[in-house]
Amino acid sequence: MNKKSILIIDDEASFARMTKIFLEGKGDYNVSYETESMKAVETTRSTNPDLILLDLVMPELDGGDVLARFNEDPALKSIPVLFITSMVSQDDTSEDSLVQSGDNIMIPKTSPPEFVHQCIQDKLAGVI
Amino acid sequence: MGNTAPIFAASMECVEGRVPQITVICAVKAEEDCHSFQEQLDFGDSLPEHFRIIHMPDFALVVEALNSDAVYDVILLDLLLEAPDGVDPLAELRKLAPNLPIIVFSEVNDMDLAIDALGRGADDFLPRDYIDYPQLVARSVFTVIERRKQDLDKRILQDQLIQAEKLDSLGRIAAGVAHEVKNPLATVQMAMAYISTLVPDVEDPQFGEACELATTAINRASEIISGMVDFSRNDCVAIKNGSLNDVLTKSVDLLRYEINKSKTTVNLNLDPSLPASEFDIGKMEQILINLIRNSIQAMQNCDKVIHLSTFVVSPQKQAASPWLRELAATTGSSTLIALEVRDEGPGIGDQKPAALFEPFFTTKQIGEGSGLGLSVVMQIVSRHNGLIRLKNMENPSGLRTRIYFGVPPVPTTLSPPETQKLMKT
Repeated sequence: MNKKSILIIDDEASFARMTKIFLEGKGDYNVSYETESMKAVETTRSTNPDLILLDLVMPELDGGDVLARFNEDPALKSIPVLFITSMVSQDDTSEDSLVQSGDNIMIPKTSPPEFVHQCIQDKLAGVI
Repeated sequence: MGNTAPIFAASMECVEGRVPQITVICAVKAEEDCHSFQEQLDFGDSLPEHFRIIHMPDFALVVEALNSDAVYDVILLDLLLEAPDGVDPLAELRKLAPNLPIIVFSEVNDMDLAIDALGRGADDFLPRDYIDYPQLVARSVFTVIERRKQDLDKRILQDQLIQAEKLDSLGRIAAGVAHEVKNPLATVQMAMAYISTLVPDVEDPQFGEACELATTAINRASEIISGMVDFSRNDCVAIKNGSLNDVLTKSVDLLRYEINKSKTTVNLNLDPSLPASEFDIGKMEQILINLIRNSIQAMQNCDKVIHLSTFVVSPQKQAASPWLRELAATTGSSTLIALEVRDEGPGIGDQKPAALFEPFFTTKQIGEGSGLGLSVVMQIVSRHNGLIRLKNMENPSGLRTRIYFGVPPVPTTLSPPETQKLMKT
């Protein structure tokens, strides 16, 4: 099976790097990350990922702004995006463990990492 | 806050249907003095209240009376009443009954002593030579009782303000801290998840346990942070029209798994005539979930029963309680409704109820709870202008939590079911 490529866009470098290590440890992914939201579009174009993990709260452009720019670009628009954020607590997500914002799912940053992984698998499989 | 916040007063329940009566402890030595008071206070049917005078010629009798469950309205204290050596009767009675009006009764030439008594906690004084003066005693009794009542009302208000202020500042700090701490926390969680996958490859036999401990610890920290975010988010409530009965039913459904696992029986007793009210449904469920969870944990999986009920507060009960009167006044509602959670656990003992609502106060084992549950409950209740009362119950023992809310005068069923955001200013 070909490895899927994931791009993390998050201004917290240590979180992004750790998530890369964790996900690559699963053996199924190639992970890269971008910590400057202004470069998000450019980096996404050059890496052409299968899925993007997008932080919601970032300086300069926030997650919503970045997504809006993706949507303006036909080539980027179709890439699946999962929001990951420290704004959402697990209690908010207790209904069905996920919070929806439009079509986009938000995962609380402090979710158990296996749950984050599950969300990525489901999103890649088109289940969520 | 030196005084127990009356809003939480666990023991001061009003007695339903009590005949208006002013019960006076007459702590004077001489029988004839007591008679004089009796005569002075005997107005026949000309007053709506009538006086009941209890003569207690001995200091020990007064102490015994104040230590009993009986309710008294005022003490007439003879400064010459004999007390055991070294005991100052006034100081001792003040200590025993901090909120009970005390009128001292003195020899007229002891004016200095009488004034000194006022400074030491007496509410008024009556010179002996003047007790036959028409209506003087009654005037004094009514004045001190009314003044105490106003003081109490004022203190209730003050305590509520202080509490609201404390919660506000904590909420603001919590929001800031929670957000900043989440990122590093998430990073460590991610790291532990990765490191844990290496357990089979590491020879050190303790490595696995160390990973588990670290993971548990970090998950617990993350739970607390989530609780703090919930706490801070309660600044904003989304008020809708709904029924508390539905909230109770839904909360029990949400907790079905925990209830069954702990072998707890839930006894639902919902008042079908409960009027619809306005509240934040999600937050109200959070209250119920926190309270029911606390009860389950307090009962320690012992095959016990949680009684959940709703009811409309009777007008008599409302009229008899200063807290309920205050609640009706502040919410502008003539109808008050209540929800009650009663468990069969050990209760809260002598614990000052106010302390239970402090953030991070917990009696639970580490890992069982964050200690934020009740403070979140308190905060949501106060955002809804509600009132919460705790009481230790006997036969069977347990804790009873009652939360009272005002029902808005006109139900807003006409507006579309759109969420109305009420931002705290």
